[in-house]
Amino acid sequence: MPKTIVIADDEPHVLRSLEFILKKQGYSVVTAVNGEEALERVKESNPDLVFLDIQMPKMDGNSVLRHLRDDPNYQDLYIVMITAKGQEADRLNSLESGANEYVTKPYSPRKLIGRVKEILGE
Amino acid sequence: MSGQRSTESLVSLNVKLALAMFPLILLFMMFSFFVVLRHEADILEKETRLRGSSLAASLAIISGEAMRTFSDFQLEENLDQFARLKDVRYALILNQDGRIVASTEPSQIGRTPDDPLNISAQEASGERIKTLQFQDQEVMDVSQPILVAGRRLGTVRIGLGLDALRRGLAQSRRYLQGLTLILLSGAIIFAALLARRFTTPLLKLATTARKVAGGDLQARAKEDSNDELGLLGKTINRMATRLQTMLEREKTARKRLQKRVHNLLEFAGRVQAGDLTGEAPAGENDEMGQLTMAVNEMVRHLRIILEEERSMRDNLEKSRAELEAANEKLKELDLMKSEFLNTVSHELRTPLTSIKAFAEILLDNVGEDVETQTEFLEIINKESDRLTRLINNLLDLSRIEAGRMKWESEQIDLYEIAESALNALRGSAEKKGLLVEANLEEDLPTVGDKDKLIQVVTNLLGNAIKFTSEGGKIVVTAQRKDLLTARILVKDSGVGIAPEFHESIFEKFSQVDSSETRDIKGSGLGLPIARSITEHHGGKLFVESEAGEGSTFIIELPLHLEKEESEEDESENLPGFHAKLEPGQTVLVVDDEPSIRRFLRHILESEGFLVIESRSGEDAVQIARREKPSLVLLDLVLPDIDGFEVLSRLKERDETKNIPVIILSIIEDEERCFRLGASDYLPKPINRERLVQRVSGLIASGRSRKSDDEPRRVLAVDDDDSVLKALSTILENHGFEVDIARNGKDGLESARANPPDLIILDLMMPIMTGHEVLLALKQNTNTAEIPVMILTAAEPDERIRALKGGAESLMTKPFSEKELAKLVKDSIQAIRVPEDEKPNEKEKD
Repeated sequence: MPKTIVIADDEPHVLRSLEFILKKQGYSVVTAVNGEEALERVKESNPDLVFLDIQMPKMDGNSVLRHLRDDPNYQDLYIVMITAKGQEADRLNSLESGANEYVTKPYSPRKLIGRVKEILGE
Repeated sequence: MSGQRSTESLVSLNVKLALAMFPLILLFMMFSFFVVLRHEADILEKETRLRGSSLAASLAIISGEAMRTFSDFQLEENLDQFARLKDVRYALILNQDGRIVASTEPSQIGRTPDDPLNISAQEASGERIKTLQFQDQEVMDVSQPILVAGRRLGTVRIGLGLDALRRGLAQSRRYLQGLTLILLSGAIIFAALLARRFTTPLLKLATTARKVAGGDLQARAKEDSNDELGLLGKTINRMATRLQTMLEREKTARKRLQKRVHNLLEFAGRVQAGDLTGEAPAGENDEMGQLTMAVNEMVRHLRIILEEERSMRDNLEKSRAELEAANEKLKELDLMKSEFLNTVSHELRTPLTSIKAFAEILLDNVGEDVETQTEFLEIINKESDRLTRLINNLLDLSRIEAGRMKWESEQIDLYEIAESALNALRGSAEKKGLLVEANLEEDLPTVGDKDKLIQVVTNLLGNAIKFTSEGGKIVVTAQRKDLLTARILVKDSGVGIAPEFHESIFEKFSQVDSSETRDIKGSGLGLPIARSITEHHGGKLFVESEAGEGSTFIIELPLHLEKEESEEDESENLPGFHAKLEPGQTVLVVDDEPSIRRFLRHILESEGFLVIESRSGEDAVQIARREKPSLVLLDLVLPDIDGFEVLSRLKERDETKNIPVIILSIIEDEERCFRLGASDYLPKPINRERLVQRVSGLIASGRSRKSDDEPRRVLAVDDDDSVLKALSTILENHGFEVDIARNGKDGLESARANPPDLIILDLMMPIMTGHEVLLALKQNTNTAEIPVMILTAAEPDERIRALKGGAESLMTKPFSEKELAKLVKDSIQAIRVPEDEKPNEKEKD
């Protein structure tokens, strides 16, 4: 049973790159192009890991994060913010809201895969 | 005054008169008394004597007959009749013998006394009167002869008692005494009355005077008598009246003064309380009035000072508020700036994310199928384009905002603008399945930057294509709106824009945030830039739209029928793009980026230039000194020394300072470049056409400088006409052409309009000092090269300052003709040697 990863980003090319590298590693990848969709996909798929962009239409990544953390079912879900917002304040904001990690764009696919493997304990 | 004095003396005399009255009257009375008494005594004595005489005569007569007859009896009878008379003491008749024949004293009869009296009586021929004592009584004894028929018969003697007489006299004396006493008393009373008659009115006058003196100014003396007292009274009254008038006047004056003082005090109180309005009434122009006016003046000054102070305080307050506002604004700007930077960073990172990710993916997955690889490469390419667009837009925007955008200004037609944009994007529209319609009116002339206006229309058209789904329609219209305005409309049948976004879409990085539009990525800068460009051209850019109803973007631009003159001049001065070049002109290209050097070499060589490359600053300076290129293209970011340093080193050496330098850089510090002597500035990315035009222009103008044969022109700037005249005369005598300017500003304008070969500059001038002129000259590339000779009588400090400011030479007033001519020649010569290489700085703009 492959582990499931939800990725949410409104940038189709970013989504495409993440999807490609994660699928390449054999993960099951579920994508979402906005915050509301991301929340739905997480609830549907019960993933092992979630990548959230912050600046998304309809609902931003931090809101999605807080919604999830408010739900007892997702207290332990590993959530990684992946965003072009590079300010320290943004980073702290997300970490305080319950993000496990904060990755700044542009990201390195290689390093990201390495990190995903660590997180998922492989 | 004299009246008063005479009145005083009169009073004194009267008193004396009154006092003297008593003895005078007394004396007069006594004198009268004695005279009257004496007179009366005389009269009585005479009467007595006369009576005695007549009695004796009568007796003698009546006794004559009896004597003759010897009738004693008769004698006796007669005698008795006499004896009965009261005052007859005695009577006797003597006969011729002296014998008493009859007597009132019967004892005597018959006797012949030896009485002397008898004897004397007998002896006397006529009447004889004697006074004698008889029986202790004074008696007048009168004798008379008795004559009968002439014969003396006897003598009669009668003794008349004088006591009645004495008694009458005594009585008269008593009467007189009484009278005297009465008169004296009367006189005294009269004197007293008289004295009182004078003293009473005097006392009254004195009382009046005392009253007046005591302050009762109503008191008046009687002045009805027409004497000195009346005069005195009048005088006192006049005095009192006058005093009263004076006092009243004084009282009135005092009251008025009090009122004025009160007014002044009241005013002072008001002033003290802070009310500086109004002024104290000055009244008459006396000391008080002057004091009041002085106080008013003081208060007026105070008011002015306070008003000034208040206005200063207000200004200060205002300045402070402004400063605070400015500070707030700055903070806001700072915040905006950092927000903007955040956004920019975010926007830049986004395409970069895909580029970086797919590049790495491709590197790590070399064995991937071609289709996937191609897909990824296409993504990389698209995102690179997006990134480039974004950066270009950012730079454009920053240039526009900083006012550093290079704007072309040419005669253009909006028809062409719209057509160019249409031509560029018609393909992609049709590819998307959109119907494109064009309604372009011709002859819509305007002046402006053609490329940028095309950019605006292209942007709008691009947006229209982006936001209109397949089967939609886009209409581009170019038309005259009115006499002065033309407009281009780009209408689409796309998603439309809700009215609340009609303004915000023109803000940086703002996009209508909806899922429908998010998949269509723009930079978020296109519309702000388009609006800025339109506004720069004096036009407007706005949208008319409803969500879901499609949008119409409208550009309105002013119509220009004629070229502006300055532009015409400029274009004439600009050596054309196709200027004839002599072969073999060398251009030194300085850039550490080999690709850029290659690109530049390619362009320049294709235009017929020789190109030398240098990739570092030090190297470039060396090459320039050695090769003396016709022009240097200089990047600012270099590995060793930066472009600014290169520029200043080139400009500090004689052999290189006249080589024109064009800065090619993304660093936007044009001012510094020009200050250091750059001839032009072109931003990267490089616009080929413009680069060639500038390079050709600078080189061509450098070659077409005037020859040495022309007379040198000297611009003399001094506010002293005599100095200007002297300079003109001397320099014209030495073959110079002389322009004059009477102040710094005129001088500067003259130098800019028609750069002379030398400027002679006074330091102390109105409007602009020599220092200011010098600074302005050196800061402008058109005039920076012109040598400046300072001609001054100013302090050494000032001269040093001028030399530091870039003056080539210095001459102290007064000057001699010889010195001046020599220094002018030397100053021009020093610059003149490499004349041919000198670029035409005018080209710059």
